[in-house]
Amino acid sequence: MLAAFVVALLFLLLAGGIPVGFALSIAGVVGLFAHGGVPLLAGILSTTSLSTVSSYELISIPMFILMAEFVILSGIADSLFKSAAIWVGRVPGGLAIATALSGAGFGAISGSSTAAAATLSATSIPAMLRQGYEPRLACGVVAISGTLAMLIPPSIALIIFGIVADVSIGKLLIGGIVPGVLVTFTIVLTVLYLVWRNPAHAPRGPGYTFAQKLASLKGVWAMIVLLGFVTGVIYAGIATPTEASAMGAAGALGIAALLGRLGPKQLHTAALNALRSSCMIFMILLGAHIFGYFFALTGVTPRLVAGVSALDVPPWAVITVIIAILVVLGCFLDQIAILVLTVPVMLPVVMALGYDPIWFGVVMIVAGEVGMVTPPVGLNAFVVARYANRPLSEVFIGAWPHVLAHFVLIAVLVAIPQLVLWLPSRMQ
Amino acid sequence: MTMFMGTALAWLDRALRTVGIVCLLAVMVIVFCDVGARYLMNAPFPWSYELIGMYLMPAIFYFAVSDTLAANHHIAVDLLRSRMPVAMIRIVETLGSAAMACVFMALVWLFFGSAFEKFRSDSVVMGVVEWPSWIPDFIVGLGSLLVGVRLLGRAAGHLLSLLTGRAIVELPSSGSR
Repeated sequence: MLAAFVVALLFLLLAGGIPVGFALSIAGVVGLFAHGGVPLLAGILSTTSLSTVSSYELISIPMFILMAEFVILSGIADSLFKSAAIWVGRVPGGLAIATALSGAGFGAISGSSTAAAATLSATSIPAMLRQGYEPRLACGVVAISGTLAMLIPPSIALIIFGIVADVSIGKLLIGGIVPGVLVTFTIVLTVLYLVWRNPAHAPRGPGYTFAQKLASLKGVWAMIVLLGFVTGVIYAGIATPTEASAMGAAGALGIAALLGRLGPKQLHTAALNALRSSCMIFMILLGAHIFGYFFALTGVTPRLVAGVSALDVPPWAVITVIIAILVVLGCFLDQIAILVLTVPVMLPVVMALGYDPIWFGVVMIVAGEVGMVTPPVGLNAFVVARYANRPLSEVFIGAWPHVLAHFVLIAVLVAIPQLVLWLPSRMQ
Repeated sequence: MTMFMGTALAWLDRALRTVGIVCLLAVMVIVFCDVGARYLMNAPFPWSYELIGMYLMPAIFYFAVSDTLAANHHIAVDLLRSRMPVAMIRIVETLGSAAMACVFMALVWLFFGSAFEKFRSDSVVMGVVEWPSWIPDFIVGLGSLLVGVRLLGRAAGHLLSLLTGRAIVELPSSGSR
């Protein structure tokens, strides 16, 4: 009864627009106070408030965000779309495919899907519209391509999953590579199908010589080397994700300095942005920990696990229901909020069914991608509509074919878990 | 008086966030040099793990939490808020800010108290070096005090705006923050 009241309070606070981290903290504090009074509450606050943010492993979050800020500062992100457009602009739907590829590239830089969607909106939508692309197709592909940032390493969402679920962050990041490539291919194939059905929706662009194509890589090679290095050292076991994140940030700082884009003002702005974004995430983690203590004390999770385990249904049916819940939550809540709210409850159920936590983390993120472009509040759709100054309905309708394609891909990932688990199993 | 409080809070926010930025960049430099020293000279910094975990990470969060709130950077879901009447938003902001201020003020009471006790007893954490253990508690207390005062000011501002009908404090901007 108390647990139901506190969960209802949490959703009331969230619906009222109270920041996610604050809402979790308030609901957790109320629950702990009601459960054990002041001594229990004081004991948990005095340990959780410091232990949550003093974890060494947590530094990968501010460091990867800082790396993204420095890469954006260096102007490399802008060159990504131009280069991709030169390479594939001639094929049917070439600019839309270039958007998907640069979305994957930007995802590798930023780890933030909304930042990726905003940047892609500013560069690729005007280019597609100028070339005569159907606006819905253009907006839809940008919205869905932005979500790749949640999956392709370094993904902040996967790092948060690793922290909340206490799972190897390195394996999670490497586990996101193959599904990230598959999602990119899914977007490309969906674009090709849409263009095959109606070629007038995506006129072909001009062709370029091989020399021009090679020259276009000049603006992005440094980023490719940096990202290859960061992912490579994690995969090879040379450095932990924590160490790789700091080396990536330092490398991106060096690139920005070499390209002459780094002055004191730019350094301050990049660091301040990274500080605020990290603080926002830490606040959510702190709230989740306080709320998590309350949930653990009430014993809701073990009862749920026991209840689901006793059900006479096949495991895939339970997974299907869980994915459906994640997609629906993704339509209303931010991905980080979904992770901290659902992982402590869902992961024990999934593991009791015999599934791997690394696999579940990646599938969870892919399901969350769908929510990001689905009405009523798919965050990426809002970002694209706002930055590209297009009607929101146009973005939602344009993203719909991609949503269907994503459902097919999720089914494939559920049917063949090795697609996620093979690469992490080869790590040093 | 209100203006003075606002100016003082903004100044303190700037000062603490500058310390936070320095800590953030210091983490990058220390870990980068640590990895380099380990591979190139087989001489890693044995103190880096403790320094970062105990002092720098708490400072990155607690010294930025008030500034992040002031910049509306804490993410929120505003699906229903855009359809709420202004009076209802004021009520939610008043109650939410007051409740969260209570949480942070509880941290101030807990952590300043414990920092004072540890400082008085010269308490240290034994590691590679002897780390004074009052510093992390002081960081939590100081950051919590600043954001607690900011939240109390917000709660009072929204309540007064509700009662007088004048916008004494602005409503948080719409959109996901």
